[in-house]
Amino acid sequence: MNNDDRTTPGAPTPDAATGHGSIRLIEERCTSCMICVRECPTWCITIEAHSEVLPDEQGHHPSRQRVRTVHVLDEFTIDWALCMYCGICIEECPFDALEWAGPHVLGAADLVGLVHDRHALAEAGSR
Amino acid sequence: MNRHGDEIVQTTSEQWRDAVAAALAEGFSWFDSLIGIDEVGRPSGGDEEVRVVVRLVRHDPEGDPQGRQLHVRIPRELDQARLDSIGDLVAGAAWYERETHDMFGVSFTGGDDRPLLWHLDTPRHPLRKDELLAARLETPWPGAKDPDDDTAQASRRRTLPPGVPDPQLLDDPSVTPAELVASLGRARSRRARR
Repeated sequence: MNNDDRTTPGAPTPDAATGHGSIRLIEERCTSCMICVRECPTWCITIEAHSEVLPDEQGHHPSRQRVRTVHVLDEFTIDWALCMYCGICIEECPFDALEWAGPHVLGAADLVGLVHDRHALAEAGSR
Repeated sequence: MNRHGDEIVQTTSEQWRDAVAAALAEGFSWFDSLIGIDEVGRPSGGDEEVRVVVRLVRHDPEGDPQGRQLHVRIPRELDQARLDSIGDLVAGAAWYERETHDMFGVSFTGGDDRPLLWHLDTPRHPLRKDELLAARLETPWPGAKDPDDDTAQASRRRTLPPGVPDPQLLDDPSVTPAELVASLGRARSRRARR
Protein backbone atom coordinates (compact mmCIF):
# COMPACT_ATOMS: atom_id res chain seq x y z
CA MET A 1 0.00 0.00 0.00
CA ASN A 2 1.15 3.48 -0.68
CA ASN A 3 -0.04 6.03 1.83
CA ASP A 4 1.83 8.80 0.22
CA ASP A 5 1.04 12.41 0.86
CA ARG A 6 0.73 13.21 -2.85
CA THR A 7 -2.47 11.22 -3.11
CA THR A 8 -5.52 13.39 -3.69
CA PRO A 9 -7.50 13.47 -0.46
CA GLY A 10 -10.42 11.11 -0.63
CA ALA A 11 -9.15 9.27 -3.70
CA PRO A 12 -8.92 5.49 -3.45
CA THR A 13 -5.42 4.37 -2.56
CA PRO A 14 -4.23 1.85 -5.11
CA ASP A 15 -2.08 -1.03 -4.03
CA ALA A 16 0.89 -2.25 -5.99
CA ALA A 17 -1.00 -5.03 -7.75
CA THR A 18 -4.01 -3.18 -9.06
CA GLY A 19 -3.17 0.48 -8.81
CA HIS A 20 -4.03 2.41 -11.90
CA GLY A 21 -3.04 5.68 -10.27
CA SER A 22 -0.53 7.25 -12.59
CA ILE A 23 1.96 6.25 -15.25
CA ARG A 24 5.74 6.57 -15.03
CA LEU A 25 7.97 7.29 -18.01
CA ILE A 26 11.36 5.60 -18.06
CA GLU A 27 12.93 8.02 -20.46
CA GLU A 28 16.10 6.14 -21.31
CA ARG A 29 14.01 3.29 -22.72
CA CYS A 30 11.79 5.52 -24.88
CA THR A 31 12.69 5.51 -28.57
CA SER A 32 10.04 8.09 -29.60
CA CYS A 33 8.43 5.44 -31.79
CA MET A 34 5.00 7.11 -31.38
CA ILE A 35 3.18 3.81 -30.78
CA CYS A 36 1.73 4.91 -27.41
CA VAL A 37 0.62 8.23 -28.88
CA ARG A 38 -1.15 6.54 -31.76
CA GLU A 39 -2.70 3.78 -29.69
CA CYS A 40 -4.06 6.05 -26.95
CA PRO A 41 -7.87 6.04 -27.27
CA THR A 42 -8.18 9.46 -25.66
CA TRP A 43 -5.27 11.12 -27.47
CA CYS A 44 -3.78 12.22 -24.15
CA ILE A 45 -0.09 11.55 -24.94
CA THR A 46 2.14 13.82 -26.98
CA ILE A 47 5.74 13.30 -28.05
CA GLU A 48 8.11 15.92 -29.38
CA ALA A 49 11.21 14.38 -30.88
CA HIS A 50 13.73 14.93 -33.60
CA SER A 51 16.25 12.68 -35.29
CA GLU A 52 19.98 13.13 -35.07
CA VAL A 53 22.64 11.49 -37.14
CA LEU A 54 24.72 9.19 -34.99
CA PRO A 55 28.21 10.55 -34.33
CA ASP A 56 31.04 9.89 -36.75
CA GLU A 57 31.52 6.30 -37.81
CA GLN A 58 28.26 5.09 -36.34
CA GLY A 59 26.35 7.58 -38.46
CA HIS A 60 28.43 7.87 -41.62
CA HIS A 61 30.31 4.71 -42.36
CA PRO A 62 31.70 4.09 -45.82
CA SER A 63 30.15 0.62 -45.86
CA ARG A 64 26.65 2.05 -45.62
CA GLN A 65 24.86 4.17 -48.16
CA ARG A 66 22.36 5.70 -45.78
CA VAL A 67 23.26 7.61 -42.68
CA ARG A 68 22.05 6.15 -39.40
CA THR A 69 19.89 8.38 -37.27
CA VAL A 70 18.45 8.06 -33.82
CA HIS A 71 15.36 9.68 -32.34
CA VAL A 72 15.97 12.09 -29.52
CA LEU A 73 13.06 12.72 -27.19
CA ASP A 74 12.48 16.41 -26.54
CA GLU A 75 9.22 16.25 -24.68
CA PHE A 76 6.72 13.65 -23.56
CA THR A 77 3.45 14.72 -21.96
CA ILE A 78 0.40 13.00 -20.58
CA ASP A 79 -2.72 15.07 -20.11
CA TRP A 80 -4.31 13.58 -17.00
CA ALA A 81 -7.52 15.43 -17.75
CA LEU A 82 -7.97 13.15 -20.79
CA CYS A 83 -6.31 9.93 -19.62
CA MET A 84 -8.76 7.21 -18.64
CA TYR A 85 -6.14 4.96 -17.07
CA CYS A 86 -6.77 2.12 -19.50
CA GLY A 87 -3.09 1.16 -19.68
CA ILE A 88 -3.06 0.50 -23.43
CA CYS A 89 0.08 2.66 -23.74
CA ILE A 90 1.84 0.53 -21.12
CA GLU A 91 0.71 -2.67 -22.79
CA GLU A 92 1.71 -1.55 -26.29
CA CYS A 93 5.11 -0.02 -25.55
CA PRO A 94 7.64 -2.37 -27.19
CA PHE A 95 10.43 -1.06 -24.95
CA ASP A 96 8.64 -1.10 -21.59
CA ALA A 97 9.25 2.61 -21.20
CA LEU A 98 5.92 3.15 -19.44
CA GLU A 99 4.76 1.50 -16.25
CA TRP A 100 2.08 1.90 -13.63
CA ALA A 101 3.09 4.09 -10.74
CA GLY A 102 1.29 3.93 -7.44
CA PRO A 103 -0.41 7.07 -6.22
CA HIS A 104 -3.09 8.95 -8.05
CA VAL A 105 -2.27 12.10 -9.90
CA LEU A 106 -2.89 15.16 -7.78
CA GLY A 107 -5.59 17.60 -8.64
CA ALA A 108 -4.59 20.91 -10.17
CA ALA A 109 -5.95 24.45 -10.14
CA ASP A 110 -6.47 24.46 -13.89
CA LEU A 111 -6.43 22.07 -16.83
CA VAL A 112 -2.94 23.10 -17.88
CA GLY A 113 -1.70 21.87 -14.52
CA LEU A 114 -2.88 18.36 -15.40
CA VAL A 115 -0.53 18.15 -18.37
CA HIS A 116 2.59 16.54 -16.93
CA ASP A 117 5.89 16.81 -18.75
CA ARG A 118 8.62 14.19 -18.97
CA HIS A 119 10.26 15.32 -15.75
CA ALA A 120 7.05 15.01 -13.77
CA LEU A 121 6.30 11.66 -15.43
CA ALA A 122 9.76 10.32 -14.63
CA GLU A 123 9.06 10.93 -10.97
CA ALA A 124 5.50 9.63 -10.95
CA GLY A 125 4.92 7.64 -7.80
CA SER A 126 8.46 8.01 -6.55
CA ARG A 127 7.78 10.38 -3.70
CA MET B 1 -21.42 -21.83 -26.98
CA ASN B 2 -19.11 -18.88 -26.89
CA ARG B 3 -16.02 -18.63 -24.71
CA HIS B 4 -18.04 -17.35 -21.77
CA GLY B 5 -20.14 -20.47 -21.84
CA ASP B 6 -23.22 -18.76 -23.25
CA GLU B 7 -25.43 -20.65 -25.62
CA ILE B 8 -25.78 -18.68 -28.86
CA VAL B 9 -29.01 -19.01 -30.80
CA GLN B 10 -29.23 -17.47 -34.27
CA THR B 11 -32.73 -16.40 -35.06
CA THR B 12 -34.60 -14.35 -37.66
CA SER B 13 -36.66 -11.22 -37.34
CA GLU B 14 -39.83 -13.30 -37.80
CA GLN B 15 -38.90 -15.79 -35.08
CA TRP B 16 -37.14 -13.39 -32.73
CA ARG B 17 -40.05 -12.61 -30.45
CA ASP B 18 -41.06 -16.27 -30.17
CA ALA B 19 -37.45 -17.22 -29.43
CA VAL B 20 -37.38 -14.75 -26.55
CA ALA B 21 -40.72 -16.06 -25.26
CA ALA B 22 -39.45 -19.65 -25.51
CA ALA B 23 -36.28 -18.82 -23.58
CA LEU B 24 -38.32 -17.13 -20.87
CA ALA B 25 -40.53 -20.23 -20.65
CA GLU B 26 -37.42 -22.38 -20.24
CA GLY B 27 -36.39 -20.37 -17.20
CA PHE B 28 -34.03 -17.86 -18.80
CA SER B 29 -35.95 -15.16 -17.04
CA TRP B 30 -33.16 -12.83 -15.92
CA PHE B 31 -32.76 -10.15 -18.58
CA ASP B 32 -29.15 -9.08 -18.88
CA SER B 33 -28.95 -6.86 -21.92
CA LEU B 34 -30.18 -5.99 -25.37
CA ILE B 35 -27.93 -4.11 -27.75
CA GLY B 36 -26.95 -3.81 -31.39
CA ILE B 37 -23.74 -4.50 -33.29
CA ASP B 38 -23.13 -2.69 -36.55
CA GLU B 39 -21.84 -5.41 -38.88
CA VAL B 40 -20.54 -3.07 -41.56
CA GLY B 41 -16.88 -3.74 -42.26
CA ARG B 42 -16.67 -6.85 -40.09
CA PRO B 43 -14.77 -9.82 -41.52
CA SER B 44 -17.81 -12.06 -41.07
CA GLY B 45 -19.50 -10.19 -43.92
CA GLY B 46 -22.89 -8.59 -43.61
CA ASP B 47 -22.04 -5.04 -44.63
CA GLU B 48 -25.75 -4.33 -44.94
CA GLU B 49 -26.75 -5.63 -41.54
CA VAL B 50 -27.12 -4.71 -37.91
CA ARG B 51 -27.06 -7.55 -35.42
CA VAL B 52 -29.27 -7.30 -32.36
CA VAL B 53 -28.30 -9.40 -29.35
CA VAL B 54 -30.36 -10.12 -26.28
CA ARG B 55 -28.80 -12.02 -23.40
CA LEU B 56 -30.95 -13.90 -20.91
CA VAL B 57 -29.75 -15.88 -17.92
CA ARG B 58 -31.20 -18.86 -16.10
CA HIS B 59 -30.25 -18.82 -12.45
CA ASP B 60 -30.04 -22.37 -11.24
CA PRO B 61 -30.25 -22.63 -7.46
CA GLU B 62 -28.22 -25.88 -7.61
CA GLY B 63 -25.49 -24.94 -10.10
CA ASP B 64 -23.94 -22.14 -12.10
CA PRO B 65 -26.06 -19.60 -13.96
CA GLN B 66 -26.47 -20.33 -17.68
CA GLY B 67 -26.59 -17.62 -20.31
CA ARG B 68 -28.40 -17.71 -23.63
CA GLN B 69 -27.88 -15.12 -26.34
CA LEU B 70 -30.36 -14.65 -29.14
CA HIS B 71 -28.77 -13.08 -32.21
CA VAL B 72 -30.74 -11.64 -35.08
CA ARG B 73 -29.39 -9.92 -38.17
CA ILE B 74 -31.60 -7.28 -39.73
CA PRO B 75 -31.04 -4.88 -42.63
CA ARG B 76 -29.01 -1.82 -41.86
CA GLU B 77 -31.25 0.47 -43.94
CA LEU B 78 -33.00 2.71 -41.44
CA ASP B 79 -36.52 2.04 -42.72
CA GLN B 80 -35.92 -1.74 -42.63
CA ALA B 81 -33.97 -1.98 -39.38
CA ARG B 82 -36.98 -3.18 -37.44
CA LEU B 83 -37.87 -5.92 -34.96
CA ASP B 84 -40.90 -6.79 -32.87
CA SER B 85 -40.75 -5.28 -29.42
CA ILE B 86 -40.17 -7.61 -26.47
CA GLY B 87 -41.03 -4.86 -23.98
CA ASP B 88 -44.25 -6.62 -23.02
CA LEU B 89 -42.45 -9.96 -22.46
CA VAL B 90 -39.61 -8.65 -20.34
CA ALA B 91 -40.18 -5.82 -17.94
CA GLY B 92 -37.41 -3.30 -18.47
CA ALA B 93 -36.48 -4.34 -22.00
CA ALA B 94 -38.24 -1.24 -23.32
CA TRP B 95 -35.43 0.91 -21.97
CA TYR B 96 -32.87 -1.15 -23.87
CA GLU B 97 -34.97 -0.97 -27.00
CA ARG B 98 -35.02 2.80 -26.73
CA GLU B 99 -31.27 2.83 -26.24
CA THR B 100 -30.77 0.52 -29.22
CA HIS B 101 -32.97 2.81 -31.27
CA ASP B 102 -30.93 5.84 -30.20
CA MET B 103 -27.56 4.23 -30.82
CA PHE B 104 -28.19 1.98 -33.85
CA GLY B 105 -31.40 3.24 -35.46
CA VAL B 106 -33.23 -0.06 -34.88
CA SER B 107 -36.98 0.39 -34.45
CA PHE B 108 -39.13 -1.90 -32.33
CA THR B 109 -42.65 -2.53 -33.62
CA GLY B 110 -45.16 -2.21 -30.83
CA GLY B 111 -42.52 -0.66 -28.61
CA ASP B 112 -41.48 2.81 -27.68
CA ASP B 113 -39.05 4.64 -29.96
CA ARG B 114 -38.89 7.90 -28.04
CA PRO B 115 -35.32 9.10 -27.51
CA LEU B 116 -33.82 7.90 -24.27
CA LEU B 117 -30.21 9.06 -24.20
CA TRP B 118 -29.76 10.98 -27.39
CA HIS B 119 -31.94 14.04 -27.83
CA LEU B 120 -31.34 15.75 -31.13
CA ASP B 121 -33.63 17.42 -33.62
CA THR B 122 -32.04 15.41 -36.42
CA PRO B 123 -31.72 11.78 -35.40
CA ARG B 124 -28.22 10.37 -35.63
CA HIS B 125 -27.14 6.96 -34.48
CA PRO B 126 -23.72 7.31 -32.89
CA LEU B 127 -22.79 3.62 -32.58
CA ARG B 128 -23.18 3.05 -36.31
CA LYS B 129 -19.67 2.85 -37.67
CA ASP B 130 -20.30 5.27 -40.53
CA GLU B 131 -21.40 7.94 -38.06
CA LEU B 132 -18.58 10.47 -38.15
CA LEU B 133 -16.96 11.53 -34.92
CA ALA B 134 -16.90 15.28 -35.41
CA ALA B 135 -14.50 15.96 -32.53
CA ARG B 136 -12.05 13.44 -33.99
CA LEU B 137 -12.18 15.14 -37.37
CA GLU B 138 -11.57 18.58 -35.91
CA THR B 139 -9.01 17.85 -33.21
CA PRO B 140 -5.38 17.63 -34.32
CA TRP B 141 -4.22 14.06 -33.72
CA PRO B 142 -1.00 13.93 -31.67
CA GLY B 143 -0.06 10.72 -33.52
CA ALA B 144 0.24 12.54 -36.84
CA LYS B 145 3.70 13.72 -35.84
CA ASP B 146 6.65 11.83 -37.18
CA PRO B 147 10.08 12.32 -35.55
CA ASP B 148 11.65 11.58 -38.95
CA ASP B 149 9.85 14.46 -40.64
CA ASP B 150 13.05 16.45 -40.87
CA THR B 151 15.08 13.68 -42.46
CA ALA B 152 15.22 11.76 -45.68
CA GLN B 153 13.72 8.76 -43.89
CA ALA B 154 10.40 10.53 -43.41
CA SER B 155 7.61 8.06 -43.97
CA ARG B 156 5.61 8.69 -47.12
CA ARG B 157 2.64 6.91 -45.66
CA ARG B 158 0.40 9.14 -43.56
CA THR B 159 -1.32 7.27 -40.79
CA LEU B 160 -4.90 8.11 -39.93
CA PRO B 161 -6.16 7.99 -36.37
CA PRO B 162 -8.47 5.08 -35.53
CA GLY B 163 -12.07 5.89 -36.39
CA VAL B 164 -11.32 8.71 -38.82
CA PRO B 165 -12.10 8.04 -42.49
CA ASP B 166 -10.07 8.97 -45.52
CA PRO B 167 -10.78 12.72 -45.89
CA GLN B 168 -11.14 12.35 -49.65
CA LEU B 169 -14.22 10.18 -49.22
CA LEU B 170 -16.01 12.70 -47.04
CA ASP B 171 -16.87 14.97 -49.94
CA ASP B 172 -18.01 12.12 -52.17
CA PRO B 173 -21.80 11.76 -52.02
CA SER B 174 -21.75 8.34 -53.73
CA VAL B 175 -19.62 6.67 -51.06
CA THR B 176 -21.25 3.69 -49.33
CA PRO B 177 -21.09 3.06 -45.57
CA ALA B 178 -18.93 -0.01 -46.25
CA GLU B 179 -16.41 2.03 -48.25
CA LEU B 180 -16.32 4.71 -45.58
CA VAL B 181 -15.77 2.17 -42.82
CA ALA B 182 -13.10 0.35 -44.86
CA SER B 183 -11.14 3.61 -45.07
CA LEU B 184 -11.14 4.24 -41.31
CA GLY B 185 -7.78 4.44 -39.64
CA ARG B 186 -7.14 1.25 -37.72
CA ALA B 187 -5.56 0.59 -34.40
CA ARG B 188 -2.48 -1.59 -34.60
CA SER B 189 -3.32 -5.20 -33.94
CA ARG B 190 -2.73 -5.90 -30.30
CA ARG B 191 0.29 -7.84 -29.16
CA ALA B 192 -0.47 -11.25 -27.77
CA ARG B 193 -1.04 -10.96 -24.08
CA ARG B 194 1.30 -12.72 -21.76
